[in-house]
Order: sequence, then C-alpha cells, then structure tokens
Amino acid sequence: MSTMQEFYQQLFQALERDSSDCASLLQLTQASPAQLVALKGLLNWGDWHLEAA
Amino acid sequence: MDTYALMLDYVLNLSLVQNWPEMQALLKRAAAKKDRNWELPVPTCEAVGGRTEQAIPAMAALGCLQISIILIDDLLDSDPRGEYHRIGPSATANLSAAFQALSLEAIAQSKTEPAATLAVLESLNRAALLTALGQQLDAQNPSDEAAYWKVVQTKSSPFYGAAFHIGALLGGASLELAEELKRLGDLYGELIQIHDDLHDALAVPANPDWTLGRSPLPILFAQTVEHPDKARFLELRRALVLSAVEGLPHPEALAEAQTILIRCGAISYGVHHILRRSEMAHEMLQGIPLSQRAGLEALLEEQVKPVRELFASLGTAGAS
Repeated sequence: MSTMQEFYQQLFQALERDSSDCASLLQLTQASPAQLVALKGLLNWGDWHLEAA
Repeated sequence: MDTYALMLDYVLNLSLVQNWPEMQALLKRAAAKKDRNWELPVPTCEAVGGRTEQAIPAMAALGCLQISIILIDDLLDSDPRGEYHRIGPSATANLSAAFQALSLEAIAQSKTEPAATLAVLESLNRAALLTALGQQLDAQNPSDEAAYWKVVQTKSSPFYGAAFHIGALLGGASLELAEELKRLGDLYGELIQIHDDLHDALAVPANPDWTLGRSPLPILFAQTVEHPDKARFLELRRALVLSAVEGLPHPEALAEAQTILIRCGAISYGVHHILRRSEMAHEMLQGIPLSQRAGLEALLEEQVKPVRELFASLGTAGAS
C-alpha cells in the first residue's frame, strides 16, 4: 500500500485518534474552502515571480 | 540602509553589470520586491556569530540565482507573468544564463577568505545544477509520490539548502557546521514547496498546475488514492485542462475539484507533511551548536503558524 493510501486509511478509520493532529486533520476534511483562507494567507514565500501578482 | 539596498548597491557596482543596462533594470525591479528568500542567508550568518553585513554577497548571489531560475521557470510553465512576454524567449534565456553566472561573480568578487569562497561557489553551482535537474524532472510530470519527492528534493530544496549554507560560510562557520545548516535549509525548502503546492492547488482562478495538468502534492493524492470521488476528480481535471486549451474558464469545475481535494484528505495530507517536517526541522535545529538560534526558530515557526491558525478556526487543538 502506498504511503498516501495508508494515510487515507488511517485518517478516515481514525486509527490514531489519540493524536490531536490526526483529529484536526480529519476535521480539516469537513472545512469549507473559505476556511482555508487561513492556510493560504501567509504563503507568499512561494510566489516566485519578478512582478507582483 | 536596509539589507536589500546594500545588496543592490553591491551587485550594481560589479563591473560586468555596469555594461549591461537590461541586467541593471531587471535587478532593480526584482530587488524592489524585497523577496524574503533573498534574505535567508542572514539568519544563518548571524546564527554562527557573523555580522549582517557579511551576508550581503550571499544575498546578492542568492538573488541573482533566483532571478535566473524564475526567468527559465516562467518559460517552462508558460506563465503569463513571465519576462519572456516582454523581451522574447531568446533574450530571456540569455539573461538567465547571465544571472546564474553573476551569482558566482558576486561571491568571487567578495572579500571572503579563499577557502570559504571556494565552498560558497561550489554550493551555489551545485544548487543551480540540481535545480535544473529538478526542472527537467518536473517537466516530465511526476506520476507517483516517489517521483514527486524526487522533484521536490532537486527543484526546491537545493536553493534553500544553499541559502542556509552560504550564509553560514560567510558568517565564518566551519565546513561541518555549515553543512549541518545546509541540511536544515534542505528541509526548510521541502516545507516551502508543500506550502506552495497547497497554495497553488487552492488558488482561484485555476493555477497552471490545474490548467497544464501538473501534479502538485494534493492533486497527486486525489488522483492516486482510492476514494469515493476519484473518478469524478479525474473527470474534472480533464475538463480544467480542456477549458484552458479552449480559453474558456470553468470556475464551477475548479470549485468542485477543490472541494474534493478537501473532502478526500488531500489537503490534510499536505498539512500532515508540514507538521512532520516542521517537527523534524525543530529537532534538527536544537542539535546544531549555534551562537544564536532565534532567527532560525522564527523562520521555522512561520511555516507552522498558518496551520495552527487553520486548526484554531476549525475549533481543533492540533499543532500545539
């Protein structure tokens, strides 16, 4: 089984429910795209362009 | 004078640049953006006991290397913001080669002692070579996770590893200590790439990753893992590539595909890797003997802060 598939199984079968990160990652699957603004907001490091967006 | 002004002054005074107005103009334009990547050698220089001014040639070298990479990257990605739209692909390729060479010239003309100069030149050259390999591998569109990480470790990590490495070397670090900081920089580069992938996958309107059929980590996850929406996701991917070819944006398809990324755990997988690498980087940093580590700790903290904010907005306690 690939690492990605293994993660998927663990996430949705919640085999690691004792881990708060795992619970948060599961809850993240129920987030709305709007809630992900927090994640997107500070990620300007990757903007590799010579001009501003 | 701030570090960007010092760096710009330093490069513009190199004799090779003084005869090339187009290079000067591009340098000034790029420096005005104050790209934070250019300043990365400063915290490692200071962490090993060096002064900020000692890192200026490293900033100059890194800035020139980044300009060189961006010029080519935009050509490869057909990016609408690419300089090649303004000056044409031939002049762009030539300028890219010039900036890569200028990156080395910035170090060769510094007053750093010979052994450190040689180590810095080697570091920058290796980063340029590995990045070119990474671009080549990326253009072949990695189809599985092993290939994806290989692209990350060639296309993204070498630049950040070199940034940390050359800052430390110009700050007076031993070769061994600088090597430890290079490894931290490599890991930091992986963190940046994962963030970038999440950002691009969630971007609106569709990023070139969607329209050119590329596979950043979340998209690779959603099209590889067996989940209930996989067939629909693959259908939406094809529709987005086709809509880009036809020049007809398809915002509904993008919104649905991005919702699937969230629901199937693809975004969670990226966040999981940010948390894992962040933890590894903190542990690695604690094991490196440094004069001061606050600057580097702050850099690492910046990477996990958005995740913490996201979890807080969802009302969960993770990433403590």
